[in-house]
This record gives sequence, C-alpha cells and structure tokens, in this order.
Amino acid sequence: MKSKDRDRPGVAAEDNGRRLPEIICDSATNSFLPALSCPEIPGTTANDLGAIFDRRVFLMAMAAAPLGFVCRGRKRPRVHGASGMAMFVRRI
Amino acid sequence: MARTDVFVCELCPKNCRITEGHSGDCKSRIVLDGELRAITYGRPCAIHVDPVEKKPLFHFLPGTRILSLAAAGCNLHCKFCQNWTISQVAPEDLRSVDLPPEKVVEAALAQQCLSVAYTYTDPVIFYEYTLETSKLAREKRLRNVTVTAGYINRAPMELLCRVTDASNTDLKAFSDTFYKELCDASLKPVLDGMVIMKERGVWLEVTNLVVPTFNDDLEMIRKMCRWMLANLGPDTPLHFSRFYPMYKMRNLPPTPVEFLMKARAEALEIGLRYVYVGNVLGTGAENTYCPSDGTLLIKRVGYSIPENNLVNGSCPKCGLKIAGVWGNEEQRP
Repeated sequence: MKSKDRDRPGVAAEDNGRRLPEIICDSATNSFLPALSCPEIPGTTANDLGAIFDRRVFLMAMAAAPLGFVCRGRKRPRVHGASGMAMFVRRI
Repeated sequence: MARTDVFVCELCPKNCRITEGHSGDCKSRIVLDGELRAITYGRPCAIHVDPVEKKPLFHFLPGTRILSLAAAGCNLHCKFCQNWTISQVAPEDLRSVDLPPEKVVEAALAQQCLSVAYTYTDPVIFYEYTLETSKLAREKRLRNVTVTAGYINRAPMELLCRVTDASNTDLKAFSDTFYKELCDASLKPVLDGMVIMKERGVWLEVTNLVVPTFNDDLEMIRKMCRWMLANLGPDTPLHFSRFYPMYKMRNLPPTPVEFLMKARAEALEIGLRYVYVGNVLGTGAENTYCPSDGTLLIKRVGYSIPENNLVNGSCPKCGLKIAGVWGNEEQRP
C-alpha cells in the first residue's frame, strides 16, 4: 500500500486512480453510452462530454449498438424500491 | 402531481431546488415520478475491508478492520479530490452493486470487522442508506464511522449523530474563500457540524489536507487550531495530510514534508494534544505520544501497529487516561 492512499478505495489505489473509459449498456434504449468521465484527461468534469470523448470508444460503441448510438442523455436511474425515498425534503 | 412541482432538498446547506427528472448538485438525489429519490440507496460503488487507521482514525479501536463503503456522487466538488472518479460522477455512470443495509451488516460480521465506515465519497449524499445501515449495524454491536466533509444541515446531522460512533471530518481550510473557490461549499456549516458531533458524543478526529499555495499558511493553521482548541477541546486529534497532485490540481507539487512538520509543531504549541502527519511514511509523526510525559503509546508504520503500549487506555508510565475509544472502555474528554 502506498503512503498516499489514505482513505481511497482499494482498487483505485492499486491502479493510481486511473480508469479507462468504459462502455455501458443502456437497458432503457438498448443502446450504448460511453462512461461520462475520463481520468486520463486531467481537468475534465463528468459533463465535459465533448472534451473527454475518446474516438476509439465512439467507434466501438457505434459497432456494438444495434439501434444507433446515443451520445447524450442518461440511463434512467435504478431506484431501490420505496426505501430509496429521500429524507429532509420540502415541496414548494 | 404536477410535473412542475419543485422540491427543496434540505439535507445539505446547498438546499437544491429540483424539478421532475433532474438531480441536485450531488447527482444522487433525483425527482422521479413526483418524488425525490435517493438513487444510490443500497447501491454502493466501492466496498472494501480497510484498517481503521486508513480512515484515518487513530484513537478509535486501533488495529481493527472496518468495512468501508461508498456510493457515487458528492455535494462538494473539490478540485483536489483524490476519489474523484467516484465522487464527481453521476451514479448511473458508474458500476454499483446491489447491497441493501442488512447485507452490509452481514458482510461486516463475516469479515470480522468491528465497525462500518461510510466513506470514500461522502455519507451525506447517501444519507438514508447510511442511516438505515447504521441502525442495523448497532443492533449487531457494530460501530459506525463517517468519513465526511461535514457539509450537512443541522437536523440531518443531529439525527445521524444518534447512530454514529466516530467520525473523521475534513476541515479543508480555515477559510471560507478556500471552501467557495476550491470546494463549491462554505466553511460555517462544517464548523457547526463538528460542534454538534462533539456535543452529541461522537468520537471526532479532524483531517486538514494541506494544499501547496492554497492553504499552506501557518497563520491560517494557527487560527484553525485555536478554534479547535476552544470549540472541540484539546483532546480532539488533528491529522495534517499531505497533498498529492490529483484531479484538477495536478499542476501543484506534493506538500513539502517540512511544512507539515512545522504545522504539527504549531498545533502542539497551541495546545492540541494529539497531532499527526499523514500520507507520509517514516516521520514518526503518526505515532501517539503521552501528552504528559512523552511516552510512546502507539507506534504506527503505514497502516500497521507494531507497538501498542496503552494499558486500559492509559499511559503505562504516568497513568494518564488517553482520550479515545480503545475497546470496551471509552474515554471521552
């Protein structure tokens, strides 16, 4: 374990926090999305889709997606039943 | 329900106003079908067994294993975040596993852990999951630990304190400007939160990450230590942590070790009794010494403990009770 790994998850510590872009299947549309973050490019945020887009991922996604490629939009979040209700909420 | 309804999430001081289909600033609380949902409930993105020293907690069950879990997202956006690959993304963009609270407790017991840590990102954004798991953990005699930036409103903090045994809270800088410019947050709620924890009997340790050119200011550090002394007491451990280039601050060098040692000396001089330097090996500043006679009480090397000389939580030479949670016996200032 390295000295600088204080309270980092084990796996991220092992590979120094670097993670390659991934392809995620979107079950709602049966198409594929690139992961919206890329630690390989410093200074980007999850919303900087244009900046982080990796051409290789794009080509892989295009080849894999039978119903077309969705480059924007999000998967519908999974909700863990009624217990996923948020507390401390006020409706106005 | 009209789809134009606006929900105010009153969990953290950002008090996000959220409409149907949108999330709050933390990305993990979303209005779906007319209800605000905590979408990471029961879905951690990281789960590991760590030594408790890694949190870091140095005065809480030393040498024990702690089941540590996180869910995606964060209500802060620190430009130096070391766990940003999980904290600065939306939950749906990250792999997670289905692990309801009862399974967390089962896993902790199976792994011979004495406690569960809600950590890596921030338990504030997976509040409901933390709360429910903590309740079940307590029933099984497990302790609960939060590792947090402490950016939370008073009411949820008070409720969480009922099931929290210990916390390592980040005090990122004693500067509101720092919080605003580097973390997208503010200082006061963090200070208030720490005082609440102390009042409610949560064992508290504080971490200050020293970022070169931003908060490596000895005068600011002195002010922070004086505030801690006055509001949290001299027995609250303080960890100065070494910065490494991360996320959006890869242009900065690591914190010079000499500065961290100087900050530690200042904090001890001001009157804090237990001051540590972390993310650095071999300085001796991760050991616990008796504040009365300087006896080495706990020797630490990385996350291991080659020596623990405490006798029933006391100094073996002078008998001074050392503040902390050492096992069956708890000694709180």
